[in-house]
Amino acid sequence: MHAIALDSKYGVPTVAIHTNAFEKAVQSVTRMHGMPEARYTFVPQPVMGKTVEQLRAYVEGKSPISGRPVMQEVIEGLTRPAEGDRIKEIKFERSTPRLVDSDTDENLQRLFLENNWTDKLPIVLPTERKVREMLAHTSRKPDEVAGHMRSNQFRQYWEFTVEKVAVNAVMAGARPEYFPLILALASSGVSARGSTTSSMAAMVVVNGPIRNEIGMNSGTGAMAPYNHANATIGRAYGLLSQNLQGGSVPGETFMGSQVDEQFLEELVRTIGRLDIVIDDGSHLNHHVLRTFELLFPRLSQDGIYVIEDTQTSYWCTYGGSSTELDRVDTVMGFLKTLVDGVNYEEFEAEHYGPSYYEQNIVAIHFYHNLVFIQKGLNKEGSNRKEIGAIARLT
Amino acid sequence: MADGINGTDKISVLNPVGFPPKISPKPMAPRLESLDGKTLYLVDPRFDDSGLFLRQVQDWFADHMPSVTIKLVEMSSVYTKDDPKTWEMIKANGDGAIIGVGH
Repeated sequence: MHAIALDSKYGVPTVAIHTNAFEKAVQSVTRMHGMPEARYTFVPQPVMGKTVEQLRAYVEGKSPISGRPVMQEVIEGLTRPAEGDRIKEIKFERSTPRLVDSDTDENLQRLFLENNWTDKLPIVLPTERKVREMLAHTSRKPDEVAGHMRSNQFRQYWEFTVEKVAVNAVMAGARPEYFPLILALASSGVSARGSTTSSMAAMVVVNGPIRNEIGMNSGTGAMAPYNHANATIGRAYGLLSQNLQGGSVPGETFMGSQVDEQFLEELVRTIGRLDIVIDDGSHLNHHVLRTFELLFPRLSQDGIYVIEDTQTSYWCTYGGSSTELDRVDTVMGFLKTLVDGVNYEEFEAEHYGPSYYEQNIVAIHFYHNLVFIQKGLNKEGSNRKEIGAIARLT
Repeated sequence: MADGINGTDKISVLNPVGFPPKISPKPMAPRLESLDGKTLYLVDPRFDDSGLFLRQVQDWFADHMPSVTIKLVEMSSVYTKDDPKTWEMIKANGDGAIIGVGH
């Protein structure tokens, strides 16, 4: 992204060097940002943790993608004029066709399934007649823009028309009289298929006369699959979300810096609840400590916080130290300051004011290069009186 | 076309997918005729060991193309944020740029 901006907006010939793990992402981003000829090359993944000699070998070696020398691709990227060929390959206008190629019922069901246009269950095929019947229940025109939707804040919005909403409503098996409600859901722009690493579902609350007019169940079993309107409207909301925002592919992840507070806040807000945090990020000591500072308070009570590769606490290139083991700006040095706090209730100090960590860490487990921190209400009470009583007896 | 009367009839159905954002083509900066005598900025996005990696690129130029002046700079903030000040500085003082390791 930065290379594209520097090249196109500031007029500076630029080459980006990526690791080969990002091949598809780089191709997609350069195309979607209108610069398919953007210049880049690749070195092997990973870069982090490699020695100077290994990194020099990357520089002097070949791209694992093209097989050509990395530095040759860098120099050519800065000096070879643009050819303008690849830009012709891009369709700059709306490229989603209105119709799917005609085929048999069975083949179309398979096509929709393979294209990830379904929720993996059979759908009602959206024929012209069925979509027309759905559209008869709205005064809005089929080609009118109904809204915009995206799966998270890092994606671009996709656009959809009233007809596109109707297509998805048909697929869900909804009756045409449900369509005003389904169209309202789509027009909200709120996706029922947001990006998340957890299992989540969107809930819809329907109010007003329409809930009775279309026979929705708002009583016993309202959340269960015993009512046609409830079930198919919910299904339509899911299908239209994944299809109108340009796809919903499990396994995609949030990408951002582990010390970007704004990103982490948005991440937590989007996924709603953090039960386990595993920091396997940059392993730089100041990053690990900042991430802990930002995320531990957001971890749910009884949640678990894991820090991997704590060996960098002793490595100076990561901001650690092998000689000053208690330095609190190193991961291990900092974590050691938390140990006594687990037992703060046993301190023989009147009116001791425990810190947030002391009140909310119930256990810390240290392993080779790995630490588990268990969050919980650390208020078991002191054993001082009990032990004192035993001592007096003996 | 039939509307799905039996399994062998061909059916015409509508595509359920929305419309992607329109793409605006962006111009590329004119390329350099040669790197000889030019100033290149190596931009460190401060991710993982990108700075360490770029120092090897810097050394490569020193060994193989000593006429190229190399300047290594870090982005002002994290790589997810735009950095107009750095870009303006490179535009004012440099002839080209290499960003790595990018994401």
